[in-house]
Amino acid sequence: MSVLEENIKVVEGLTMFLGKKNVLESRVPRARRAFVSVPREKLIDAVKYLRDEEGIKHVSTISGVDTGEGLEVVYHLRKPDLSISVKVRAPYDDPVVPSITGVLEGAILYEREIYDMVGVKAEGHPDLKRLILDYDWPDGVHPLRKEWDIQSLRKRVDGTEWGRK
Amino acid sequence: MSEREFIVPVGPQHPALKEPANFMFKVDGEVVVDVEPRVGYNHRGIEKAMEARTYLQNLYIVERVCGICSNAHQTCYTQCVEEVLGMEIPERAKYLRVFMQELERIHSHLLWLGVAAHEIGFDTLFYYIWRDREVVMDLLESVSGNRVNYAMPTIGGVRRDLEEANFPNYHKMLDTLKERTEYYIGVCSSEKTILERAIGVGYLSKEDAIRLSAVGPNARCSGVSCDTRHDLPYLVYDEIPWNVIVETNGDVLGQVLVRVKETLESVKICKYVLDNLPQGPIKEKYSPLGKVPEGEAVSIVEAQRGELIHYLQSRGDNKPYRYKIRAPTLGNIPSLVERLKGGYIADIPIVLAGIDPCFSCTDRMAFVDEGKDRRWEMTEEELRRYGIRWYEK
Repeated sequence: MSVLEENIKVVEGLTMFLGKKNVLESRVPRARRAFVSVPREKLIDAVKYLRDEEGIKHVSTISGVDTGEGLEVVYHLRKPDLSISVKVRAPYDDPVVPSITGVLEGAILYEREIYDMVGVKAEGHPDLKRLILDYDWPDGVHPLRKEWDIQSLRKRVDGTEWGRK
Repeated sequence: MSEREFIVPVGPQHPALKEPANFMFKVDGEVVVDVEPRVGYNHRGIEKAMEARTYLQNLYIVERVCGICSNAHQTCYTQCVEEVLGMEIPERAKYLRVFMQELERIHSHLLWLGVAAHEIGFDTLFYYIWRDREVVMDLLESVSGNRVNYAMPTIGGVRRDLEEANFPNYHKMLDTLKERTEYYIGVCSSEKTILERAIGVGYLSKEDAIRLSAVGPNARCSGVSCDTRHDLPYLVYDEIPWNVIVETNGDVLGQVLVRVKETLESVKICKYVLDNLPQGPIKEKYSPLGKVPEGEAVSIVEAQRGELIHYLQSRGDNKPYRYKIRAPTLGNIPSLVERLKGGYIADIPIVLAGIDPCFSCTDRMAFVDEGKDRRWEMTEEELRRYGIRWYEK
């Protein structure tokens, strides 16, 4: 069986496990890459299934995206021959996703990173605090949200205009 | 906290290194009980800056994410953009990218090996290795015109070609590197000065390496066979004969051996590329303001320090909607913490340096005795000397 067929099987297995209505989108654009979108209530189930049934134990990273309609969190998980990106969405007024650190401990710093940069709380994280930004950075300013551009960030954070002292 | 436990903050400032970091060590006498890492001192907002620039401008920003793995970042970025563009690059360009990537790996691993020798007080070896590293630096300069930041990969291929007339010279330089690296394998696996400071120091088990998502040589020295070049073959790594190096020691010696042996593999790959370089164009056409269709891609390459992942979301504009970069050092920090626990203060410099972080040394450190409210500070140089003296006893 080719790598591509095996990868498609992984996604099909996950769809069977969660039920068709719980997989909002799934694609295998080429061998060794897959993208799956699930509701955030099903995230832990999905990650557990991938870990226990498919041997996907490595967390490459977690990306946070401000899509304009809400926040999207993309979990890039790996086993040797497949990088699968599991996406969940959270609305602006409730930016919370369940923490996957209980299932895959490697996510521990990445969940702090998205909390810091995009403002998505990972519920159940053992030590959720800032990772990257300075300690005197204003609360509630998450620079990777689209509401901020470089000029407005500068004005908000140091009170200076772009290019001027 | 018991009477005997101290908090030892290490870092964050070091003028000589690219990425400062801070570690809070909780120590009991000489033994490290717990470690809390803090990163972000060198955060430059690159991901946000990339959203405001065109794809071609970003090519030069990603190159400056890191001085040592500049080529790895560019390779990863170009692959990511080309995947969304649906662009297939010429065969010769693929070989040239592999060539640059492996030269960069040789220079980075030799640099690391020198630093590691310095950290354990073996400065003779440090000078020898850095002298030999100049050979690969000269080779890189001859190919690209630069010692670092080569600006070779571009969207659609590579920017410069190799000149056939130089090949005999390149082969000679690679032979020198091969001979010297073989000599260092001998030194590193038999010299008492190294063995005493490396065996059993900073141990990480295979289970922990997998559990904490360790990447690169840091995971391979603990017996995890994870090399992106082999697992998710990109460019032409599946056409070139080479081996994944895995050691089972799990300690600093394992890290040394993985890196010297990998250097040898990289020399082998470079020589293969020179012998088997296909003819043809080196670049596909890409217009400087070219729009990239809507889509997303994950690009993963094996940088010197481990798995490097980039993620692009495009909305059909000539600027990325969201670009995410995760460099291998961040992935290695949870396992570094595990390595440091239970070790001695004297081993902190070599274990920190062991994962080849973008911040290894720490210039100033303050020892704080919380119970007695005393405080004293040490520079990294003093900490290094302290470690060496401690082992002389």
